[in-house]
Amino acid sequence: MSKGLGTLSVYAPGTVESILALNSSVLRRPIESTSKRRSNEESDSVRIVEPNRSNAASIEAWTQLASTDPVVIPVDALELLFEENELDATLTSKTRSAATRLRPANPLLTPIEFIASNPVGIWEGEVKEIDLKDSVFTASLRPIKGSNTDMSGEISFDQLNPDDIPLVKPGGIFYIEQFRRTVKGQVSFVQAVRFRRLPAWSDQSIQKLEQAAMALANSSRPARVAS
Amino acid sequence: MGYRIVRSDAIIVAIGAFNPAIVTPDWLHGRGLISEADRDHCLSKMQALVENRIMAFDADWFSLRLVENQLALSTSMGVTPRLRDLALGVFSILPETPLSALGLNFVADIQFDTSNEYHQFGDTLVPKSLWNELYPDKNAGVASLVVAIDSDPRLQTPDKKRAPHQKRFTIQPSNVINVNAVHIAFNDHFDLDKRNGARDSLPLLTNQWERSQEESDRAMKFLVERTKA
Repeated sequence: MSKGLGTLSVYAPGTVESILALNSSVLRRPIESTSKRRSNEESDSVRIVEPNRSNAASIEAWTQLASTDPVVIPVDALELLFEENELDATLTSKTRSAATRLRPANPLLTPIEFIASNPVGIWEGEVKEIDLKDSVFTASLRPIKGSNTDMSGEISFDQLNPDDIPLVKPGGIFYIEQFRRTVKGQVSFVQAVRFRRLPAWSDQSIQKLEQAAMALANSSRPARVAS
Repeated sequence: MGYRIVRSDAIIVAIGAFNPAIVTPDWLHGRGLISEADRDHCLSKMQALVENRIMAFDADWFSLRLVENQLALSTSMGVTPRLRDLALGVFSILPETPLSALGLNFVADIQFDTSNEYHQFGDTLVPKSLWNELYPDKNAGVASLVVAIDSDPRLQTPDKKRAPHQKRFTIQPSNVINVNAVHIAFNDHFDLDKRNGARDSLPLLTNQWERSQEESDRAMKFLVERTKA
């Protein structure tokens, strides 16, 4: 049985137990043994739930969920258990991207509209000046993909996700990703502006990271970042 | 030769001592690594928590899979540096997490214009004359080809230990596109010293990401165009 194709069968509830039984041969610690510990009178079946906001709203809720429901698997996630066990490898394979395959080629696909899933151009921008009165900011743009030319320009807050507006600060880093869009055979381009999200770092931490990156650039072995 | 890259994605894989119960959508949002919209998307989509051993959820642009000691972050809307930023954020918040390896993976599904070009690609990488001689009345084709690139002589030793930095190409028929398409995966693998926690991954992600992506793009283009009929 093909592992890759087999992942699709998780959508059929009746096959869940057989999939898990089959999969136990490739998991180091078979999931079915977990099920057995839950209750002697229960079978090896795995309870399948549809998670919602209320049962997963916080870390505490998740922890609680784990303690009360040792085996909680939504149907879509069962493909994970079906992958070949390569847990000591960083190598990815197409079986490893099974979850991606389960989705349509592009969630934005409609009969008349297609937006390619791969950006044709990516720029990394840095916020320079902010004009709150006109709700715009100026930025410099460095091409990452699809262009060779540095640019600068003015970007309206209207183009941002509301979540990203608090991140608009001088020095803030963002990305512009450009996608090809086809509507009734007509090609145009759409752009998405997304701000970089990193935990707050001190200047000292950034300096250490840059030094380590420089050291790495000059050697083939990873450099250590001092804590 | 005509071809088009139908889809490409990146996957960052780290091997280490993780706690799947911690790395939740709320945790990522609470640390400022994903937006509120991303968090809500993750929570509304598939999730898995299996006795603290598996965590899985999707935003519209990335997926997180944490299975025992393997964390995989992958893009789902094309390669974006935001994935690297997400990994940087996770590992900088969890600097003590022992990591033994980090893999930067770039994958693409490439469709050829004709079946001749598709078969020529496979025939160039793996010449079929030997197999046709062995099985003259059968068809031989590439189901999966893995090529390791390494300058470390350890790769050649009997113990077959993996070198600390190794590149691998995996080439298979695509199962995203059914007709005349191949799947190429590039794996840039780095062994890390567990004693340093996740810290060693930070300069790698900062400095190596774009290099690996460029190398992957260049190599895939070379392989496809070099095998012209």
